[in-house]
Amino acid sequence: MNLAVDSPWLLWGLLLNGLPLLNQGMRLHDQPWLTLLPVDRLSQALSLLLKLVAMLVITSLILGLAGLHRREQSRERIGKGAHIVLLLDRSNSMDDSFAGRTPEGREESKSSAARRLLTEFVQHRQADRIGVAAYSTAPLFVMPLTENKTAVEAAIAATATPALAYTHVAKGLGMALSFFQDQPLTGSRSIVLVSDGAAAIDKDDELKLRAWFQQHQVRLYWLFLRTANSPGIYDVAQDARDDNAQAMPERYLHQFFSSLKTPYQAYEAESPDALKKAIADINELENQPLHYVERLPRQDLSGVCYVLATVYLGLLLAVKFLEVKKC
Amino acid sequence: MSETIFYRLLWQTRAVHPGAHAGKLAGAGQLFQHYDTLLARPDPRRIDLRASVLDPLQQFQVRSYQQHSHVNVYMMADMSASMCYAGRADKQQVVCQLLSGLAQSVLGYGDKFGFIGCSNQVQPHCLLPLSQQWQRIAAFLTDFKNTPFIGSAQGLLSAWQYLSTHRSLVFLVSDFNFPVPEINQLLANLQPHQVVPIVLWDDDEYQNLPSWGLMTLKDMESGATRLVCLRPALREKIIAAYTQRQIQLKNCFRDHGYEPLFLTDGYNAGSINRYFQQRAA
Repeated sequence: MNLAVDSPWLLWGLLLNGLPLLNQGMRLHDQPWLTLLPVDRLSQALSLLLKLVAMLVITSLILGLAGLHRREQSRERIGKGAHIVLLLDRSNSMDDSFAGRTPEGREESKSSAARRLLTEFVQHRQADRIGVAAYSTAPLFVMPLTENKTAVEAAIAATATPALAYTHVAKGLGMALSFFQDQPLTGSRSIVLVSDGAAAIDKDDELKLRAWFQQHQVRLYWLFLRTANSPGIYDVAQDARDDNAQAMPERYLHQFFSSLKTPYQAYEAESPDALKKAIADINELENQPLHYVERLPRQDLSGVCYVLATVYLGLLLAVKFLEVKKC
Repeated sequence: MSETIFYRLLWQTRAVHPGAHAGKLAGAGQLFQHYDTLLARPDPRRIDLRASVLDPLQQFQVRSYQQHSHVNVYMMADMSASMCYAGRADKQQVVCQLLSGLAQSVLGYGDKFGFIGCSNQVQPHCLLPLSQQWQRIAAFLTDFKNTPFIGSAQGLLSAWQYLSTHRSLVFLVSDFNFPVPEINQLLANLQPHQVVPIVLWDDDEYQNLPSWGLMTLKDMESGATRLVCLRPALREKIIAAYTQRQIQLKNCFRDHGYEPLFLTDGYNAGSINRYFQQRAA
C-alpha cells in the first residue's frame, strides 16, 4: 500500500485512543448494584462497538491531521498498442488550407484537420503510450510518453495556438527520438510525423538520426499534407539541375527516410479524407503487445480520513440522541 | 413531630427496669403470673387469702404479677455509597427520617435508643450509645445528616459487637446490595436479637426504567460502568431479576426467622406500623 504521513510526530496523538476505554462520553446514571442487572449480549456488543467507533474517529482524525497519503506508485501493465510520438509541424503553412490559402468559410486548415483526426486517433488507442512533440524553427517539447489520454488530447488541442515560423525537421525528429531514451523496449515504437513541407537535413544530422533510429528501433510514419500544386514526395525533378535537397526537400527527405534501417511508411494526403485514411492505416499497423509500467501519482488520503471521521462522528451523534436523558 | 412507630416485641423481655413491653419479670403489673410465698415476695398487700387457705403447706400465698419492662432499641444503618441513591426518595434522607422517627417513638415508649452506622467498618463518629435524652439524639441527628455515605457495607458484619448483651430490638436498615453469604453471616451475628430488616429499594432503580434508549449505568460502590441498550424485553428481564432478588432476600431472612420490610417508596411510618401489626404478638 505504501502509506506514509506528512507529520509523523502527530501520530503520538494515536495514544488518545485510550480515552474511549476510560470514558464512554455518556451521561452516567447511578445504579446501586450492577451485579443485579441481567447480562445482555446486545448491550455488551454495542458498548464494544461504540468504543471501537470512538477509537476510529480519533484514529482517522489524527491520521487526517498527520496527512496520510499513498506514495507515488508504479504498476506493471500489459496492453496491446505502441509507443507513439506525434511530431507535429508548427510552421506557418500548416495554418493554411489544403488549397494553400488562408481558410475561409467551411474550409479547414491543415493543422486543425490534423488536430481533429489525431484526437480521434488518440481516443481509439486506449492502451498506447503517446507523446507529443512539435517543431518549427526549434523543437518544442509538449508531452512525454504517457498513458494519460486526457493529457495527450489536451496537448494536441494546445497546438491550436497560431503557428510559428519555419520548418526544421531534423531537430524535431531528434526531439521525438529523445522521448524513447531510457524507456523499456516493449511493443512497437513509432513516430508519426505530420508536416506539410520538408527541409533539407545536413550530413551531420543525417548520421545522428540514422544512428538513433536504429538504436531506438523506431518506425516512422510520415503524413505529408500536400498543398495543392506543391511538390510531392514522389515527384521527380524535370530538370537535373533542380534535383538537389534544397530545391526538392520533400523528395530528398523521403529518400533519406527510405534509406533508414527501420520500417518507414509515407502517406501523401491532399485532403482531410486522405489524411483520415492514412491515420486509419497506422491504427491498423500498430497493434503489438505492449509491456509498460504505469505510474500512479501520490494519492492524498487525509480527505478520506476526514470523511470517515465525519461518518463515525455522525454515528456517535446518533447514539447520543438515543441516550436516555432523565435524571 | 413525625408519626409514632408502634413497635412490638415477639418475645418477653427480661429487663429489670419497668417499661412498656410485656416482660418475664414478676413485679408491679396487671397480668397475673403466679403465686409466691410471703417469704419469697414480702408484699402483704397482695396476699390471696383463698389461695392461702387452699395451700396444703399452710403458707401465705402472694399473687405476683407480670411486670412490663423496657427494651433497648437499636438502629443499624448501612452507610455505604449505594445508600446515596436518590430516585423517588433519597435513601440517605430516608435513613435520617427513620432515625428521627424511630428515636422519637422509642423515647415515647420510654425505651433506650442506640444507633450504629457502618460503611467499610463501623463508623466511630456515627455511633450513638443507648440513650434516653432527646437533646443528645437531636445533636447526633444534626451531625449525621451531614455525614457522607461512602464505601461498602462491610462494617455491618462487625456491628454486632456494639449491641447490648441483652436481647434487643434491632432495626437493620440497608439496601442489602451485597452477596447472600454476607447477609447470612450478618444475620447469624444478630441471632440473639429481634431484627427488623428494612430493605430500602427504589422504584426508579428498576420499575421506572424507560422502555427504549441507551443508558450508561455506574455502580455506586465499585464505580464500574455498563452500557445498557434498553428495550421492552430487557426491561422486563431487569424487573424479573429484581423480583427474583426480592424473593431471594425474603427467603434468606425467613431462614433466620425474620420477616423483611421493603420500603420502595421512601419513609412511611404507616407501613412500618402495618408490619408490626401483622407480625408481632
